[in-house]
Amino acid sequence: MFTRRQTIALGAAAPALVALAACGPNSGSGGSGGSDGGSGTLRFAWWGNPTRNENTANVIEAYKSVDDSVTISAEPGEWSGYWDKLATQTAGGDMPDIIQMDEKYLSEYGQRGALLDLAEAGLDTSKFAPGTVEVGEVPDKGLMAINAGLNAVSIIVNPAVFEEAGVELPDDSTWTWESMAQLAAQITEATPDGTYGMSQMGGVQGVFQLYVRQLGQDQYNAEGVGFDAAAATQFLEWGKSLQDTKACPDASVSVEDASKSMDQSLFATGKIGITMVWSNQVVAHDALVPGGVKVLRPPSMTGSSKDVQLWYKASMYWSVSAKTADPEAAVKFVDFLVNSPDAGKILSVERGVPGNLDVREAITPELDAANVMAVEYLDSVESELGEPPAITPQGGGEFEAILTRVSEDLLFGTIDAAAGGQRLVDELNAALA
Amino acid sequence: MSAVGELASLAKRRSAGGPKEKHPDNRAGLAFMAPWLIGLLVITILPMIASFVLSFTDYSLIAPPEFTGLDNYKEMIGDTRLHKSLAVTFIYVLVGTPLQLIVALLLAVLLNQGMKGLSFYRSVFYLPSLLGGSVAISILWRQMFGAGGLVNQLLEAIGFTNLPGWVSNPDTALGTIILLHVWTFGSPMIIFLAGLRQIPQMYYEAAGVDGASKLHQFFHITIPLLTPIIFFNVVLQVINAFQSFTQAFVVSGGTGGPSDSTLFYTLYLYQKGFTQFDMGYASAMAWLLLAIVAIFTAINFFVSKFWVFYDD
Repeated sequence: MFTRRQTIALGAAAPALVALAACGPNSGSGGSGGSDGGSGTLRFAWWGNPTRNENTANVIEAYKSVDDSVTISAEPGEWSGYWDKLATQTAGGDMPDIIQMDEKYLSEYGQRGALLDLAEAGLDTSKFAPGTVEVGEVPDKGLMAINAGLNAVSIIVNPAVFEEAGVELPDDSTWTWESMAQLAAQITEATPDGTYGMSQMGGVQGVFQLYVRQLGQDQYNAEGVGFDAAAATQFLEWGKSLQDTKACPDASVSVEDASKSMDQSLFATGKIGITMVWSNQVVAHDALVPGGVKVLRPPSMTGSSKDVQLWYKASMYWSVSAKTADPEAAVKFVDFLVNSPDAGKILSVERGVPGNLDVREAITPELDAANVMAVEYLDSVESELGEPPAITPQGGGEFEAILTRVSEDLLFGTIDAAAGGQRLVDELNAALA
Repeated sequence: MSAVGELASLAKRRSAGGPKEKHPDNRAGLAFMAPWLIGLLVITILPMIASFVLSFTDYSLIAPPEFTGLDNYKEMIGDTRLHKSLAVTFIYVLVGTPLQLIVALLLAVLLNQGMKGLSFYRSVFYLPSLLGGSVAISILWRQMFGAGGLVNQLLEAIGFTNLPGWVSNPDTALGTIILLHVWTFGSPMIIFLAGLRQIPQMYYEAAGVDGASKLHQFFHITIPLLTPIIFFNVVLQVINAFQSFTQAFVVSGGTGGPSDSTLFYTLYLYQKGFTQFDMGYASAMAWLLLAIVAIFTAINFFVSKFWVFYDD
């Protein structure tokens, strides 16, 4: 019925059909091409959530009364697509002028000369708290980014879950990693199926870093990988024990929980008593959990909160493209974002607590209870901070993915903790190379 | 015969024409083809050349590329995640494609029974193909096969207990994506359906008179006469399956997890290029994929000599 020639003709026609079918609604992309960037327009990109997008749009609006000679063109995005887009834009010489930057990628961009040295460009940082400007410095390159807000590792608990289990809230100045695990196991035991004491923290980067810091190491040091296999193994064993004692959900439920959006997570839906968040996320969780949350210090090895080894992290930064057409105008806008109390009042503490002390003082009276809780937490741990950690080197942005993979292999039983600890060191070394 | 036949006879007539009328025809032809030619050149050929050149460089996207010779290709030899992604992709292609084609063929045969409302059913069965590659369906899949998803609720209703989260378990996650792939059987089904229409009814009548059962007729008339179409679908679907990306990207949230169990080759390529800033390596991976697909297609064509029946 079919000759060779006919089959070949069909072969020529069918891919066209397939190509047509591929033109579904998902193949459109690109968005508004930013071909401007000429005089008077600055492109401003950030990732965020609806609250942040609204704040930031308001701050752009407010800037008009400060300087009406430039137009700020907003390019809001989502975290997941933000870095692909930024990398592609940078490759095409089309980087936005002002960029919201993350610590994970600061070296990637800064080290390769894609960012403007803000200190050299004359950005005023005199009002910043000690230690909050240095976190934006890249060795040999200068101030590649300015702190947009501070946060720290924190533990939040849902008092309603504790009440349901008939368990008292812990004393966060004396608890340890072990006592947290035991407490969580009690909660799981005393509540109906499907409610758990704590989330699986054995694959969470912030918890990992805190844990190895308490062992006298860190995620990075000046040479590169800052922890050894023994420390990583000890952490992974702790994570495994959470699952074995049923302090947290099993591997499959934990994997699924980690992939959910914040409002659908087990913690937000009242199915988990204890979890770790960065302190700028306390407010969002507080709004999601009926009855609110409480913020606690993370546990320590020794049972003394003096040894928790917390650090202030820049929750995010502002950077300026090295190729911006008008560096002066771009830096002036960044100056407004970080140094103006008016801008601070609009942005509030959604991006973390401002590093600029004048701004912090100006906005504190206007904060609501949840925001005050986050600010007070940061204030309360200030006297207990450890050494500031080394900045994430090039390639270090990969660590979170490595930790996730290793902990999943461990929790699903394909490797043991010792093999996992070794892999963390080896794979991070390879990523940094 | 169909458009296929017309194309063939058109080609015959064209080749019979003399060289005299060639020139005006060619110019008009080129003019009509220009949009496609320009598209091919600018969005296919040039990027291909660029990626070939980049595959010999260390290119971070942010800084200009640096020539590194064969380093990227050498690095592949020791890259365990690359090997893992190849294994995942081979399983997906070698399990998913045959299953998809079997489902497509069976449904095409069913629809070819002269039932009423054929065009309606044809559209309904084609629908998943239009939707299956989309982000929305992949998100739906993740929900349906989640620990508390629709699938588990149904299974619980009929008495199963202790059910896993299908997409969050390394043993079953790939299976759910293969199932999604099988579900998008529409386009091979349409092609099968067209092929079935071409088989003359008289063969079946003759076989029926001789007492051959429906099953016999299927295996001894339908299948042999349909082999060119089956072959065509195999080639096309194998190539398509190797290039699958969206499903794994969305179902695993871009990670290829849990435990790299859904790390498709294309997904790893994407991670290398866009999240690890190693576009040189990603380009080299793209060329390896091209080589693999070419080898598979060549094997397909070679093996076809032994099982495909052409009526000429």
